[in-house]
Amino acid sequence: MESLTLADQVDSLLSELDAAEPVSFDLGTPELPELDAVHQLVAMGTAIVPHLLECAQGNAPKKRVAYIAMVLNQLGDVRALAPLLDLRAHHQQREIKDEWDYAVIGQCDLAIEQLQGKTR
Amino acid sequence: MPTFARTSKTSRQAPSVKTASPARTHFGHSRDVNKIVQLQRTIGNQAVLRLLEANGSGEKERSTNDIARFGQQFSRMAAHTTTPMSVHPGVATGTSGGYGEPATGIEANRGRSAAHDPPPMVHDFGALRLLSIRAPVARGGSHADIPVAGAPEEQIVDQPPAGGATPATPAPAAPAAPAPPASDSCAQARSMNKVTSGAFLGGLTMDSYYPDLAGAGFYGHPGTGGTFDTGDRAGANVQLYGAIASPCLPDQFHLEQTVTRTRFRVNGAVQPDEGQTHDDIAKSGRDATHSPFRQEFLGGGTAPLGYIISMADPPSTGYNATSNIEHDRSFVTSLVGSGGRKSVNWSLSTRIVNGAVTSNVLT
Repeated sequence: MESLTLADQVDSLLSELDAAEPVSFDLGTPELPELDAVHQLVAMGTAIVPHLLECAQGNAPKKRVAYIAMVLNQLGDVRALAPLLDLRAHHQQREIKDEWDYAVIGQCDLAIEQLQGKTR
Repeated sequence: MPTFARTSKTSRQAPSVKTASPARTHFGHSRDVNKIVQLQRTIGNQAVLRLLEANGSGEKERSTNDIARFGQQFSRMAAHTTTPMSVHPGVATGTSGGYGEPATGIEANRGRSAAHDPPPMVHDFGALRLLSIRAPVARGGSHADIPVAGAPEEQIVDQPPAGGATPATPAPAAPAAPAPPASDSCAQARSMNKVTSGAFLGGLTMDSYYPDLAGAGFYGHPGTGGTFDTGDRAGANVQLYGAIASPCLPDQFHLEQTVTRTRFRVNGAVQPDEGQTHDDIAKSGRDATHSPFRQEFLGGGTAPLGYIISMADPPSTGYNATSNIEHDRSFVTSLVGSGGRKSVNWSLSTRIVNGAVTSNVLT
């Protein structure tokens, strides 16, 4: 029951992030504003990592997936490393990419670099 | 030593003049003399003397104009090597005058040596020519000798013994070449530059670098550098380009860019990444090692000489009718080689008040 509540909270915060409008763009890629929802997700700790990874699967909105990668980066849980590598590869392999594909790849780049540093 | 050489030249040039045929009476024409003097400076006294000797003893019917012409052609050769032609494997070097064939490894290396240091290159190239004359090797079908366009080179250079074998008398050892600099010119880019106004170099546009964004309203006036305001984005187009020596391998250089948000306020609120520096390219998710993000072209014209490696950036700030934004970004874009980097700094400062762009400055 408690974990379900945690998942609901995560979903609610992710919905907030879906509505975020980027203000800054660089190298053709939108830059994710660090809204308070990001900080709240990070404050929930590594217990939410499995649910975040689950939320990044399937046809999740790309902006949401990019934010999930950003939160996983800040959580710093190395369990997320392999799924992030797969997530990045999935978006890199798309024949036609839009700016949000690049945002996902970019956030995965940063998170992977950070997590790989922890495993060395 | 210089005195000795000068004396020797004078005493040995005289017979050539005496044996000159009437057709060669214009040998003393100042232009021809100048050409020979120029040739002496380029390939050395001894080589010119041997040319004159060959001309005087066995080739009396030939005009010394041949030698002068050789000098002219030689000069043209040196000029060819200074053009920003690529000497990468498979790319032709030279002209269509007879030796414009794909460079072999040896020739590519010659080009590489010659192109590293432009000012003394003609002299270095002449030294290579001397080696070719004094120490001929088996030729076969190779054209590793002096690639002179026009007159048959038998008329103007010493030929190796029949069969092209190594000469019986070993050639004197070439003087030791000056020690190369600690880092050769392929270890570091020559320069890194930016286009912040006017046409992009290489015939490129922002759409060349970002075909996925073409016509999507991410930037304005895609073919030129400078600021833009699309009505919901204020930003700027910038082309960043580094020059490397033409013979260097482009793959040995990579692009980097960092961004520092020196001021970032939205509706008065300080944004979390104000004051922070990021790896801009990693964050972008773009592949900076390949086209379209990375575009390469030969320099020359308005671009620096050499081989150009470039990228472009259209940073922008999105806004709507109620936005109040202060956004200052400083960028450092670098072309990095094994021996160091060349960087260029640029920045974009944007102010938006109540949905109107009041300032948008690219420097």
